[in-house]
Amino acid sequence: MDRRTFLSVAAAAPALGAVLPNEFPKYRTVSRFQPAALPGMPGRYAGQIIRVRSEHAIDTVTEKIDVPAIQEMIAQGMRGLTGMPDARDAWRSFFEPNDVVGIKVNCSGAPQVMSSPEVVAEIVRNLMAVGVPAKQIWIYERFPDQMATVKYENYVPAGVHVDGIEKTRTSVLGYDPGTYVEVDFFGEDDTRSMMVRHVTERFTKIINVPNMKDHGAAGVTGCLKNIAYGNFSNVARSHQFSKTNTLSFIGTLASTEPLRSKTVLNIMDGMRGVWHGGPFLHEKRFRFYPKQMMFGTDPVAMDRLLLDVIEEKRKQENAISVWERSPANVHKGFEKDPNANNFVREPGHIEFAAGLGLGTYDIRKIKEKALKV
Amino acid sequence: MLLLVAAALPALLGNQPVPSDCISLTAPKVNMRPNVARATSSPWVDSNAWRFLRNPGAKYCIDAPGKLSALAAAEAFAYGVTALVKTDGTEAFGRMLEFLKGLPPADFPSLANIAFVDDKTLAAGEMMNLLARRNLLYRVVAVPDPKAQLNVTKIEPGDPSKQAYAIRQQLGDEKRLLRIYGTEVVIGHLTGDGSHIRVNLVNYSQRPVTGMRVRVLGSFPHSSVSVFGVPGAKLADFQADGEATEFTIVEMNEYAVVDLAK
Repeated sequence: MDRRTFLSVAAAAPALGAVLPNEFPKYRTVSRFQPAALPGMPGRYAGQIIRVRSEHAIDTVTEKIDVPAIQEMIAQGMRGLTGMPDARDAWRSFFEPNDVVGIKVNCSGAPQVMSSPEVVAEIVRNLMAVGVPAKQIWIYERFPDQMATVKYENYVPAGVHVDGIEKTRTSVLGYDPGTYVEVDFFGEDDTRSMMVRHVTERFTKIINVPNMKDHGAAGVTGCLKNIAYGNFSNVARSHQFSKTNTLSFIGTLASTEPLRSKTVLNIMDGMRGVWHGGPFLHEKRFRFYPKQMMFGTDPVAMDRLLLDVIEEKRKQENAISVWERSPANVHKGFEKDPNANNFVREPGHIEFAAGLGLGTYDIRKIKEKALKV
Repeated sequence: MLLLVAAALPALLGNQPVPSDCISLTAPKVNMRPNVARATSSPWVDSNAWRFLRNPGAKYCIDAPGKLSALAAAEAFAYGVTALVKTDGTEAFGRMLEFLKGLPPADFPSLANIAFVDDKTLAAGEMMNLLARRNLLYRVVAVPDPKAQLNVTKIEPGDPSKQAYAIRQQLGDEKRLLRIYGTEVVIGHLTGDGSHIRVNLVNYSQRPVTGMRVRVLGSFPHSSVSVFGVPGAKLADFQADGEATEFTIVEMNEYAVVDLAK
C-alpha cells in the first residue's frame, strides 16, 4: 500500500462560504498519518472557551508576573473547561504518564512578548503532577535564537527539553521529509513546507500556547497561526508580497495530520499582547496587557474571540480596523504607524479554518465562560 | 608552466598568462546584493554552469581568489569541462583536487529533459543562466529535439524570470529531473545512463549548507555519497519509490556527489 495519503483542500472548498476567493493555491498534502477517532482540533470541547481574567496577574510597570495568580488562573481555566472540580483530574483527563508532550510556545516577539515562562512552567508543573516525567516534556519553537532570549530552562525542572527546531535557518533536518504541504505561491523553487519531526515521530500530544497578537499578514496571530506556521518549515514564503496566501495556508497546515489530531489543548497566554505591527514588537507602545488567558480545544473559536480583543484595542488606539484590507493602506512605515499595513490583512483565515473542520467560527455558537481571579 | 592533470580535472594556471584559446571567467559565488531592489529576497547565484553547458568543449580560465578556488574547481569538474584556475588559494584548490581524484569514476553523459535552442544571443545566455540556477536541467541544441520533453525555441521579450517560470510550469514540477529543498544556493547537474545517475551538487555560498532535501526523478534504491570536507558522510531519510528518489544531505561544503543505481 502506498504509504502516502493525499488530501486536497480543493475538496473542502464548497463548505468555505463567503471568505473563499475565486482562486486559491493548489495545495498537495502528503502525510502517512490517519486522523484520530477524535482529532485534537476541534477536540472534546468544540465551540467552548473559558476565559480567565486577573487584574494583578502582571505588573505592567515592572513586567513581573504574579505566579500564584497564574497558577490559580490555569487551575480555574482547566476546571472550567472540563467541568471537573479538581484541577488535577482536569489535567489527567487530557494527559497520561506515558505521553510525550510538546508545548508549542511562541517566541517571535521575544523577549518582550512571548509565551510567558511562568505560564509554561505552570503547564509543566501540572503535567508532571499527573505523572508525565520531565524527560517526556518538550518546550519547542522553530527558531532557537528567538527562543534563547526567553531562557525557559531557568523556569522548569531539569530534564525538561527546551528545543529550537531550525538550528540553521532553512535547514530541513528538524523536519519530517515525508510529511509536508506542497504549494507554489509565487514561483518560488522550494515548494515544500515540512512538518516538525518531533510532531510526527516523538510527541503523542501537543499543548499550543500562543499569545494575543496582531499580525500584519494574517490579521491576528493566535492558536491557528502558532500551531500552523510554528510546526512547518518554509512558511514565510506565503507573505512575500502585499497580497499574501495566509488566508488559506494557515488552516491547510493546521489541518494536516498528525498535527491536527495531536494538538489536544490550547492555552492562550494574554499576559502581554501586541496590538499593531505583530508578530514582532517594533515599538513598546504597541504592547498591551490583556491580563487574561483562554482555555479550550477549539482553536477557531478561541481565535474568533481573539479577533475582538485585538480589534477593540485598536479602536481604543484610533488605529484602522483589523479588517481593513484596502491596498491603499499597505505602505512603508507600518512599524511606526498603526494606520499603515504591511500586507493586505487576512483575518478571514480563521473562518477558512472553520471550513476545514478545525472549529467553530460563528460567534453565536461559541459558548464562552468568563472567570476572574 | 601549465599544469593539466587530466582532461576532467581542473588545474592551476600558476603565473602563466591566460592562453589565447582559454575563455576567461570570474569565480562562481553567491552575491547577496543587499542594495539592489529585486522581486524576491533570494540570493543571487553567480554561476558559470550555463557557460559550461553552452560550450562544453571549450577551455576555461577562472580567476578564483582564496577559497573560491575550491568552488571554481568543483563547479568545472561537475560539468566536465577543462578548466585552469588562477588563484592564490592553492591550498584550498589542492584539497578539492584530492577530493575529486578520490571520487569513483563515472563517465556518463549529461541528463536533461529540456532542449534549449541556442541562438547565441545575450538573451539566450541569460535564459540559460536562469534555468541552470533554478535546477531546470537542459541541454543545448541547434534545432528542436523531438525526444526532449520540452523545447525552448524562442526567447520572449520582457522579464526573463517570467519566461523561466513559464518554462518550469510547462514542464511541470513533477517531471523535473532534479528538485532541491531547503536551500537556494545549491545547483545540481546530473549525468547518467539508464541505470545509474550521478548527482553533482555545487554549493555556491562559501559556507556550509546544513540539511538539504534532494529529489531525483526515477527510482534508484542503491546509493553512495561523497561530500567534500565531510569524511564518512551518509545520506539521511533515503527513499526510493516508484516515481522518485529522495534523500537528505546532512551537511555539505562546496561540493557533494551522490551516485544512484537501480
